[in-house]
Amino acid sequence: MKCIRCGTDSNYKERTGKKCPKCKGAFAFEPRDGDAFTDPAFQHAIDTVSAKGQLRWGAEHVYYELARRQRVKSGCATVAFVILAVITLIVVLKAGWLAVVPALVAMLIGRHVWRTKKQKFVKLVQKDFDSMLKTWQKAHGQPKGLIVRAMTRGAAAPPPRALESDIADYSFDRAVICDRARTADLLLANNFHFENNCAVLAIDGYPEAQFETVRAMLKRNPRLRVFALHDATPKGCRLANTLATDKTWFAEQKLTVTDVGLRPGQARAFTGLFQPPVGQPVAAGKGISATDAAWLSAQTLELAVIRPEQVLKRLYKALTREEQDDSGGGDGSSSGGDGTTHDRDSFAHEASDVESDSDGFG
Amino acid sequence: MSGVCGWVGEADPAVLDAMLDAIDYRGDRIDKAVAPGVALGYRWWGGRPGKSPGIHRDGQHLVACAGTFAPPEESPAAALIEKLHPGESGQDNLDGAFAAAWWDGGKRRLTLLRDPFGVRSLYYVAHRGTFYFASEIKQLLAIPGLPREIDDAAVHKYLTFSFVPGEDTPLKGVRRLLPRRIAIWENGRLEITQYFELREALDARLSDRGEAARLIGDLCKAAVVKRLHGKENIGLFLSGGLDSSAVALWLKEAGANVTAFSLDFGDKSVEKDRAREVAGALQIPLHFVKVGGEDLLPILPDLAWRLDMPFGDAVTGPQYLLGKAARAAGCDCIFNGEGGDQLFGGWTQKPMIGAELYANLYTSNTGDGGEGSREETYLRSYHRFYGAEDALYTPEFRSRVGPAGQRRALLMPYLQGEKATTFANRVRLADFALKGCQNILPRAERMANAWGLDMRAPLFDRQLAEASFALAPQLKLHGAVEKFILKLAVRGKLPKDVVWRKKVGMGVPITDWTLGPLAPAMRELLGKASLERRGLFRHDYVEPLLQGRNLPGETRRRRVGERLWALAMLEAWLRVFIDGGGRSPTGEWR
Repeated sequence: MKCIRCGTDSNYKERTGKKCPKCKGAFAFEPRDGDAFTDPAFQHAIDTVSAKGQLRWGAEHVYYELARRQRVKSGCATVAFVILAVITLIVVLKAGWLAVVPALVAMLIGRHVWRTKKQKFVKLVQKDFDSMLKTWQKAHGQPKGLIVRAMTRGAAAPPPRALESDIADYSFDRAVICDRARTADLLLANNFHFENNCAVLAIDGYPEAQFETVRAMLKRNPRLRVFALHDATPKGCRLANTLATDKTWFAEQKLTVTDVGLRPGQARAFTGLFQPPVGQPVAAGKGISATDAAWLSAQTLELAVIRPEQVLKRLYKALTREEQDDSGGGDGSSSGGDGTTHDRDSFAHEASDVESDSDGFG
Repeated sequence: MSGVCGWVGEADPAVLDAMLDAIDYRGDRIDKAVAPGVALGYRWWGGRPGKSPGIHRDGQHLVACAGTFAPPEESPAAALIEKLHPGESGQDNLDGAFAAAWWDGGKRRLTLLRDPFGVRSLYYVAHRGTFYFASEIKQLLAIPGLPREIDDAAVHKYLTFSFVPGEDTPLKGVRRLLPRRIAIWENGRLEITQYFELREALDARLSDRGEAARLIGDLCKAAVVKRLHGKENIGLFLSGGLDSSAVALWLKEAGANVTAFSLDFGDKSVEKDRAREVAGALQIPLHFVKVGGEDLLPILPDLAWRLDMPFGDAVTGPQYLLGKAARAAGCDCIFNGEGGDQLFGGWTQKPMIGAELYANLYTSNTGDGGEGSREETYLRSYHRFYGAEDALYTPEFRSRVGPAGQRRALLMPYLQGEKATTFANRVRLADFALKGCQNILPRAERMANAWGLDMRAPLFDRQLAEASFALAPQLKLHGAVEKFILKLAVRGKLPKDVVWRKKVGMGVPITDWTLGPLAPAMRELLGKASLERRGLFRHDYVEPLLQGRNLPGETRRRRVGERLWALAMLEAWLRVFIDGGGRSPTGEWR
């Protein structure tokens, strides 16, 4: 395994005390002792989600990056199975009984492939990942770009910057409302609000200190453009409908809300990275079609499965596309008939992008 | 148009000729006054009203004044000494577009002076015991033996702002007198004071929006009238946006004989139809000037030379070609709508408001002490290379740029100080002082001068500026509506969609140009060999830009071209001024 500090390659015997024989830096993981990933593989996952240190990211993005790697491994197994099956066929034709050996190996791999193909939920256990991240931080320190809130929710806020009295009198051109605080974190930590003159809030009141001020500011723009960004969950898929119909949000302004989140139609390609459903069967209505309801009753998918760079770029495209269309119903969008429109293109190609990007790990 | 130069100390009189020759495009007449230990030179176009007809000589006093006052004086040089007195008849109302030098032989004292908003420039340098001054840097390069070394700290600032802010210039040792300053050189010492300071002074009487709109409308119109100098052939750069359309309206109301010029970027044009609509409504003749990347390729060396300082905004190329067209059409002067964003609250303050609201949500990642500060946010809003220093700079250059915080320090007086109490007006003041007075105005003046045109920016008017900072900022940014008070002042007089639509911007298609017709020049200026020779930038950062690849977190394609152009114009400036000694370049870069 290569040391990520000095690049020295060492074998298991040379890594006494989980330290690099050259620079003496600590390794976080030791695959020979049962760890699922190597240090270079973990670092590679961080490099990928941070676009080589250019973006800020959440632990959940690294979680899915590593989970994706496990899924890539099943892809490799499929290739190995096909090759062995071909070899078996050739040997059967040429050398008779000698074909038993490759046939047995092919059967074993085939069994593994079948199982992983059937596996739709993410394999990496969250608790295991949390533990890995702690181990990583202990060995290598806080990774660059990890989004860490200056205050945790509910805790005493640090003294806020004194704001001039006029600042809440203005408004924004756009608002992106998220179904969860971590998605808002991704946008805010990467200055999406600054680059796009865009308010960012999570529907359940995040960020707490700014929430009511910003929400009041949004009501000062009768031509505000509202975008809903969310997971493929029942709550997420209803977000646009909620924003358009709830009086505490935009019902009285009669604004059209554009759904730019992850929906079942886009999520299906992420098999193997799904999360279990959230309890009761999902009822159609309020922004969820019967087909989507059936899908959401069986599984969900988090937006964090999409790499930060892609989330930011595709969200920007959705914002500008919506403005070019102006009517909110141009190509690539459809009316939900309830004050919402769906931007079908926002993450439509993401699954294939991710699939084709099989960066090597470790 | 017009320029001054000179020195206090000892120098060969031939140097004065060389300094005047260096700006031969600033006029067809020259005047010189040489006395023991002092020299003054002045170049101007004859027959233009409002210009000094030579150096003013009055006993022991010599005055050279480039430019004009607002309202105009028959001879600005003759009126200057009176205007330098404190009080209402003097400094309190000093306004216009001028740069002047006054030698008091009795006191053996040189006074240098710049206009309130920085239309006209003045630079100075002390060399071998002599104090030299000039309107342009290229004039100072005519001084024999003046070292031509790069000021790394100034280049560092340029790479953040896309212009060089503050007193520094990229030529080590040469300093710039800032706008609204008076510099006195006496007994070998320089003392600089400020005769006017823009600050917020909210006036409760202007809280009525109708009253405020009337006042602003009247002051805008008066600002235009103050800049009309008798019978002239007036050109107007009409983008079709609110500001230049409003100036068109006031010119027309003042009875001026005006012809409008607008840019045509072919299918990339964004405001062409609006310009046509405004010109049609006001019955102003309109000429479209077609500009493409291929038109800029042959002019790049001349553009860098005429700009005199590095300016990294791609609007300069189209401005150069607009000026050429206006001159060809017989114009003597050119009006524009510059200053509207800075005075009345354009789009730039909205991102600052968002950033301020969400400041300090996350722990710092860089530990440089500036992350999340207002100043840092403002610096990032220029979208050039702030924060990319480690990736772009070579280690050698990085080590020479000076201490951390020097760029933030330029902003602190406005974003943190006592000059304003409201957030939006703080941002306006910073925009006005830096972007307006040190970037937009001087570069527009030089592009007009390249063709012998007198540049007039009526919205940069002292009374108007003071009135705009007496207004509550909510009258400027009203909810999400930008320049609200200006819209109220012109509503009903201009087409409705020109008044009320959201700002689009000029939209120079610079990425298409730098990756298309200008690609050979970009490769010549920023290719590996050129970068290694200069030693400032890393090839592995620049090469992806040359290939059209954006930075990972960057969502806008236009940033590729903006960054390439900013780097290319710096290298162009270095070739012309550091390598070439400021002489007019020949040939093309490709």
